[in-house]
Amino acid sequence: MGNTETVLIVGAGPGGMEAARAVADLGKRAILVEAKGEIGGTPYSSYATLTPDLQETEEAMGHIVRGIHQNPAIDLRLNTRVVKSEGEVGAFHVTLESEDSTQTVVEVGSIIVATGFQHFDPGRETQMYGYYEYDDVITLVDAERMFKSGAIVRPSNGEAPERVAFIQCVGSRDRQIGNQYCSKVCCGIASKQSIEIKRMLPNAKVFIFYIDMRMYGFWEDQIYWKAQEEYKVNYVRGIVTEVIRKGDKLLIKGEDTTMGRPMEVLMDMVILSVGMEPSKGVDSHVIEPLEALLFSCCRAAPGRQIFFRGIRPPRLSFARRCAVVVSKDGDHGRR
Amino acid sequence: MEPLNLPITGTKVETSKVFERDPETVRDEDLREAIWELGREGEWIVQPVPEPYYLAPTKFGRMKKIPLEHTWHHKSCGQCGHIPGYSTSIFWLNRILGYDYFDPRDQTSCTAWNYYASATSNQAAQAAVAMRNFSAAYETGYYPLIHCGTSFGHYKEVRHELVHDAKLRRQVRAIIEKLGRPFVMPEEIVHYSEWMYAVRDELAARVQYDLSPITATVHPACHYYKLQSGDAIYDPEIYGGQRTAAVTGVVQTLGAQVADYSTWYDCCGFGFRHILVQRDFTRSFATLRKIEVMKQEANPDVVLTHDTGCVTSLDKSQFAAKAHDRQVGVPVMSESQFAALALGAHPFRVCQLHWHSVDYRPLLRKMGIDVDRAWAEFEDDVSKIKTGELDYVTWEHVL
Ligand SMILES: Cc1cc2nc3c(=O)[nH]c(=O)nc-3n(C[C@H](O)[C@H](O)[C@H](O)COP(=O)(O)OP(=O)(O)OC[C@H]3O[C@@H](n4cnc5c(N)ncnc54)[C@H](O)[C@@H]3O)c2cc1C
Ligand code: SF4
Repeated sequence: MGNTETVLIVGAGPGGMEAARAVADLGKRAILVEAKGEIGGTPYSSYATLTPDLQETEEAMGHIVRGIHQNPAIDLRLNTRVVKSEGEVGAFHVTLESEDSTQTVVEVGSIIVATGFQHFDPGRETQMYGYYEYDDVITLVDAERMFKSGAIVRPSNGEAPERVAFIQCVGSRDRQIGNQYCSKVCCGIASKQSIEIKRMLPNAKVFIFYIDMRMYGFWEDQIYWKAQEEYKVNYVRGIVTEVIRKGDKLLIKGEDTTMGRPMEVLMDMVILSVGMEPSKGVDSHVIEPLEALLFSCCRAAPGRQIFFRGIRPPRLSFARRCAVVVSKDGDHGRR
Repeated sequence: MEPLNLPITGTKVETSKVFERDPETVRDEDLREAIWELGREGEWIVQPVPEPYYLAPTKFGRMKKIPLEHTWHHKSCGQCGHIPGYSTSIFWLNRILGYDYFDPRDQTSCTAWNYYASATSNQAAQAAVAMRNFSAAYETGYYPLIHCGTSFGHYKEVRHELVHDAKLRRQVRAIIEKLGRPFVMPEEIVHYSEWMYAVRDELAARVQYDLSPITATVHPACHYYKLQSGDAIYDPEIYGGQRTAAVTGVVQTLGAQVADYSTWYDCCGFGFRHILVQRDFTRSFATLRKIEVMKQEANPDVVLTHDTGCVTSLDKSQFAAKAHDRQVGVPVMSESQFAALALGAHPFRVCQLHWHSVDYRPLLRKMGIDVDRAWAEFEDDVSKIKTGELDYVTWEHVL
């Protein structure tokens, strides 16, 4: 006999929090399990401001986070992981383990896996962007850290950069490394950050080197056109293949695909628009009992970006914004 | 030209960011288990890496077995014709270290040059050549060690195809059976510069000269590390584990300085098709994109690399640029030749530098080698051969 009134949600990022709130709104009980000591997921821990309004993250997400803490129908378990999961839809027995190794078994009818993503590690890039060689090559995430600290500077010398280049699609849309998909947010985030840099350093020249800009809906007007028209950010259609040091500058090499010519341009700082990969937090004991359902769910939406990193091939990748939902009546789908 | 006295920053990265290797993230699958599995299923014989072997770290943390001895030396077509000292130095080093090796006379050229030049051959023929060489090695009981970067990279791609394509496997197997040979896949495909890396400390212990005044620039060979890159040797100490440690790791361990330059990732200019049908492009690329940039940015005493085509293009293109008064004139050789020189090998009898185009004498003098005496000895050998007093130079002369 399972407990169909209770839903287990693994991961308390934006996806998991929203799922928990929705479960509570439906009058059911949510057990929200988070591996870390804080909820809010990647944006809450890593980003200074959020699209589309460039609002501070604390301000934009604070009320959602507080709402979770205050909701009596949400049983939040911090510093907790799933270590075992058995049973079937409608009657799962899931063993949770907290930081002090205490184990508890919960009976739940459905499980929502919202373990999120991790940023692509540019050390794996087949093209040579020098992230682990040069201080002045940073990622979108490093830049967010700088925005949080209130200054954007070249890490090598602490000076304000005069020329900044964003390189798009680092770790995404790249068959060579096995990530064919578009990460969908990095064009918007690079545009957002380019505005922020121009606000902080109005004399800086900012370039965005892209394959094609994918703004996905509402970010187009608020960010993309604004960056170009108000902030004079230069969007260059081109593929950068290499970043190397030349004196105290960085030389970016590649091809300007509009002009159809090779290009070599000097920059003070390069920001890699790293994409997303499935979270390593998706451990096998969470997935194993769900895998068959997850795969059929993905078959139901072929080609869609419903990703999940399974433990067996095909390795579907992560869930963005939310999760695969496996519920009692087998009505699994995506939110 | 006046020395430039450029600061040498070496291969230590200036950033505190650390690349964490993760074998899970390697994009080229680790084929080893599949190779053994096919062996168990009777698809082929797997030739294990002979013990003792060295475990070398690769880019994503997988450890690669590098045989120390009982190696079967797969030479390179361009090498023997243009820079024979490349392979002789490898053999000399094996002998100095007391390692047993085999220098076969019945090896087939890998044909990858033509393949990369879009010129000839097909999938089955390419794979058959590779497997024919592997079977030849197996029959001798020695383990293949590939001298050429292109053969090495190409064989890894062929191995990938053979693992995944049962039809191709059957086709090639039939050819090998017709030749009356066993169908063999080595456990690892190993490049000679990986062997050099594996024995670098042993080499360093035998160095005869102070190499600290010597600055080298390294050209990493594209086909060594850009094909199936998860299989090439990387070391966190060398450019943060972001550039291959082959060559660089050896040169530094021997005591010389390695200087960086901004076109390190570029091709040497060989380009396969270019060297055949557009040789001017090769000449310009090798000199203007590589040698001149090295000279401007690092002012090296020598350029070291680990592939035949690279040594040849970088060395033998410089005469053309020199005719146009460009800033060239840096000797080029393999790190095996450089290491052999450092360990006291004869520059001409062993390293055969007289086959190289750019003047290497200033380098040898800076290393502390009496080049005039060595040349006189070599001339003496030649006159003895002319008079019939000597048939040829033997290992006894040079060890
Ligand atoms: C550089 C960048 C900037 C972005 N900026 C914006 C923006 O400005 N605006 C916007 O709307 N979107 C932005 N996004 C997208 C946004 O971050 C994601 O869409 C969102 O975080 C997805 O939420 P999630 O809950 O699926 O995953 P995550 O945010 O990754 O949360 C997953 C949670 O699960 C937890 N977890 C993982 N494994 C386990 C486990 N086994 N057990 C328990 N817990 C586990 C993690 O600790 C984490 O708290 C950005 C993305 C990137 C890459
Ligand atoms: S959102 Fe833009 S940068 Fe990110 S993967 Fe898609 S196209 Fe590339």
